[in-house]
Amino acid sequence: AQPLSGDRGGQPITIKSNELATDSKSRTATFSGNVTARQGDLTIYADRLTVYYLAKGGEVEKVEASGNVRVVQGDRLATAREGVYLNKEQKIVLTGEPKVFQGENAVSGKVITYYVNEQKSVVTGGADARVEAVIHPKEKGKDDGKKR
Amino acid sequence: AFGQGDETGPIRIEADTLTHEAARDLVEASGNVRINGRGITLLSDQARLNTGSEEAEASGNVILMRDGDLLRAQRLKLNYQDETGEVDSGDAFIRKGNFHLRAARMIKAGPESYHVEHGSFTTCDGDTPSWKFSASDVDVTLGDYATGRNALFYLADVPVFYFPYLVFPVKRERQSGFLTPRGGNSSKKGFTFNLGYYWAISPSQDATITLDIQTKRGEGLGLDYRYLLTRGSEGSFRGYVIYDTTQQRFRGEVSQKHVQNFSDTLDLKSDINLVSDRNFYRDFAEQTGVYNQNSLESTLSLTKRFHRQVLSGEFRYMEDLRDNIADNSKTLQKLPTITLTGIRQQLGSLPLFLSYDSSFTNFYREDGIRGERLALQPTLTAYGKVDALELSAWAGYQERLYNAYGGDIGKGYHGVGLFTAGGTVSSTLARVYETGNAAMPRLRHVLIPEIRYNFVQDKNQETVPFFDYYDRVVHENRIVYSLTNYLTGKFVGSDGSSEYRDLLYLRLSQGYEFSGTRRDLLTLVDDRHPFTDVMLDAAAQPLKQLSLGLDARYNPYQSHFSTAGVSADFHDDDGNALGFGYRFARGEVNYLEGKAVVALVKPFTFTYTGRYSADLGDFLESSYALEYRHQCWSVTFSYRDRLDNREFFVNFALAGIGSLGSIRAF
Amino acid sequence: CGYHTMMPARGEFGRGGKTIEVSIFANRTYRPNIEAVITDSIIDELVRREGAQVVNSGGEIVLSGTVLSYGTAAVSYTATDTVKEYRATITTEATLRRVGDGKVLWKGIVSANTVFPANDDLVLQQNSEDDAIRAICRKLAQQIYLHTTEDF
Repeated sequence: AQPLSGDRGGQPITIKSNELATDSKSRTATFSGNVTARQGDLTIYADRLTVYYLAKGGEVEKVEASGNVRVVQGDRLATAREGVYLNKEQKIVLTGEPKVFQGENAVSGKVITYYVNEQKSVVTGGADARVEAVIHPKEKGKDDGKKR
Repeated sequence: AFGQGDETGPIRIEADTLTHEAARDLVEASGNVRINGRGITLLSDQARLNTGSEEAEASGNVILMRDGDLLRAQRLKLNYQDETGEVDSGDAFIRKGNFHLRAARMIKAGPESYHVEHGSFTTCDGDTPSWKFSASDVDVTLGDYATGRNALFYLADVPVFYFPYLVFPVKRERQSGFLTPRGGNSSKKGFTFNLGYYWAISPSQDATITLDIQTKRGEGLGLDYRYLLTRGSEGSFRGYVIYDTTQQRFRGEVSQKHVQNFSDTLDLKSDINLVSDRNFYRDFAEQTGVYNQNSLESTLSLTKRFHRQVLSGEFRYMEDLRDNIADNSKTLQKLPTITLTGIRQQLGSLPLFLSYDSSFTNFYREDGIRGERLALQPTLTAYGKVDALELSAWAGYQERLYNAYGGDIGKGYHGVGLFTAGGTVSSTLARVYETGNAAMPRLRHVLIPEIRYNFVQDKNQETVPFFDYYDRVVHENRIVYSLTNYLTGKFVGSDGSSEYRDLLYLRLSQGYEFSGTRRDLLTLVDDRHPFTDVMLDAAAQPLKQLSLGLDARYNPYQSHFSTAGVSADFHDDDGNALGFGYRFARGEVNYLEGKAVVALVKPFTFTYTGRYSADLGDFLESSYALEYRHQCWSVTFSYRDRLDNREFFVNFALAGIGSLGSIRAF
Repeated sequence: CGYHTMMPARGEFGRGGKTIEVSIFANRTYRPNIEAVITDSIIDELVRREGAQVVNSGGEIVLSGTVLSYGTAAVSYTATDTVKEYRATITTEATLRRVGDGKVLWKGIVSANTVFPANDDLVLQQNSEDDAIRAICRKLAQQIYLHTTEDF
């Protein structure tokens, strides 16, 4: 596998997988078999990963991951069935029972938009899947006895 | 309190969409947001939660729920940690006490206290409450009381009363707050109007101030003040005064009670009751037992308890209110009585017990015989047990010394002494029966046959002054045989717990007088034949809700009942009750009283009480009351017909904040 | 016929069992000296049956209590609506405790009443009232004793 350019946007994305199939006509490269894609502190694991390149310059336009998608960044972890990483907007859109864990906090919903640089995630629910978040208040305020 | 839920537990958020910015500890949710945490549920259209400072801000159809209390608002700011918050156009419902609080702005200053601006307050459900209070600003401390300024009292939507300052209770056990008006008409008093105001001064003091207007009699003012002190000391003061227009003077009564516990064994108690004139109660009191009371007592006593002795001194002043005597000058007073009572105490290891009664009394009255009496009565009692037979025998000597003056007989110093003796033979037999009934598997019958002999030496006491019956101790030479029965059931609850309940107490007894006269101070009728009446004393409680009482004396010589007393009392769990009492003493009294409380047709409760004198052949008093209980108020129409007075009253009560306090309305 | 002499049960005091001591009752009423009469009556009921087991002090089992309330109420009236008879009622709370471990063997509220005649001479009426108090205390003492034997 070889590093991809992208400035992360400029940092290189390195992808490892069992197989690789490229299709220059549609400017795609499909990795399959416990794929890991790494860009700086961001790592995406999936069963299958398809990378789309821009026409000119060969920049990564987006990466589509599907099957046991897991995104790890520092203490944040996201899981879903599918995820689309938009390199320019630096965000990942996760669908298929997506969940985001941050320390003890957890968020789940129908669609989670995960902003890579801003430690922010926007979760939208649907008729059948309400957005749920479980937040554990910060420990800092607890132990200094300030509480009543 | 707020934080009843898990102190540091997670806060769960559900919404249509949610943004979680971990870096800024910020969660923004919108679209039927639901936040659960710390025992609080918050619903709203939008909400922002800062998990660092634990502050939530919700807007749009905000609903906050906490153990049954409910708060609806347009905008709410809430701090989970110190439970402070702010609400715009809020409508709070406090479950305990069913309080509705509506306000343009409500500030939650702490776990238990709110500040409300331009709020209204009622215990009526629904959008158009039957009554409500509005106030410019109200400070509410839950579980304590609320104070409102510039308060208006509305009936439906009509402002009826204005109060510059008002105190009312919020979720308090002690019902207090604005007591409710009572209007009416009475043949003695004309149109009457009572208005009581209950003021909770502090957790250990409260007072009821009552205004009492009677068109025929004038305006009266009542004060009822209660206080609690340390170590269980407490007291109360009740005063009522009225300027009686018909008699052109102030009349009234004062009653003061106080218990002062200096230590576990030394206490002072006062129970002072004074009245302005002899007919005050007959003219002004309503309740039976008060308007027809013929005596009034004031006592002040100091008691010191030792291991086996009690030393007590009591000043007792008695007022004889019977209308056929002019004044109280002939009434004998005991100022004071000092008693030292020795509780039976074993002498060494012998089955011999010493007990004694001793008293010093200073009798006083304005005219008639006065003086002091010292009485000493030691008694030695021996006990023995011969398998089932319980034996006891006693011997005592009673010495009385007098110093009297102001009367015709018995002046100067005197003394008299006489012997007393006696014995008992008894047995305590028991048998437990298996009933085969699941709810009450076992029943125990206890049988106590007893023979008691009593001897009092015949001694002439004519030279001794006569203050009371203890100065003319009658000669006794009497045997009394009795049979006492106790039936106790063992009840097993559904949860397997068992309890014992007395079902029946029944005592049959009769006496035979070998010689001597007899003075039975507990009966109105005694022909003093050698055989006493056959005496029956019984009490039964077959059901928890039903208790019966019977006492009777049957004269064997004339084969008729000398006296008979029957009483029955039944009450069920939803407000119905039946009470009945019949008292007969041949040639003395024949009297019947009954009470029925019927709450079958909700929300009406009908109460009837009647007192019938067979001697008069007519009712002494009958009273009827109908209470209509609305969800948040109640009105009672009551009519009382007495020999000398007919009264009709209408009494309002606002549920929850001023249920019928014990205003002593006259 | 199946009847046997009453056996003390709670705490096995009496007849070879543990010793019992009756401590003076407290008195929360406004009427002085009731505590002396009730305590004396209870000791009489106990000593009559349990003899030597009843001790002045230092008993392994202690019966203590409080006179909670004393009150009189008119119960019958004449044709002219004046009181003819009063009913006096005394309510006490009693506790049977084992001194060793402080365990409460029995605790209960016991009440009894007696009717006594009114009297125009109030001092003579008080003689009747004093007799009524003694009669009530004898009833209470017997009831309290029987409660301490309930273990069937």
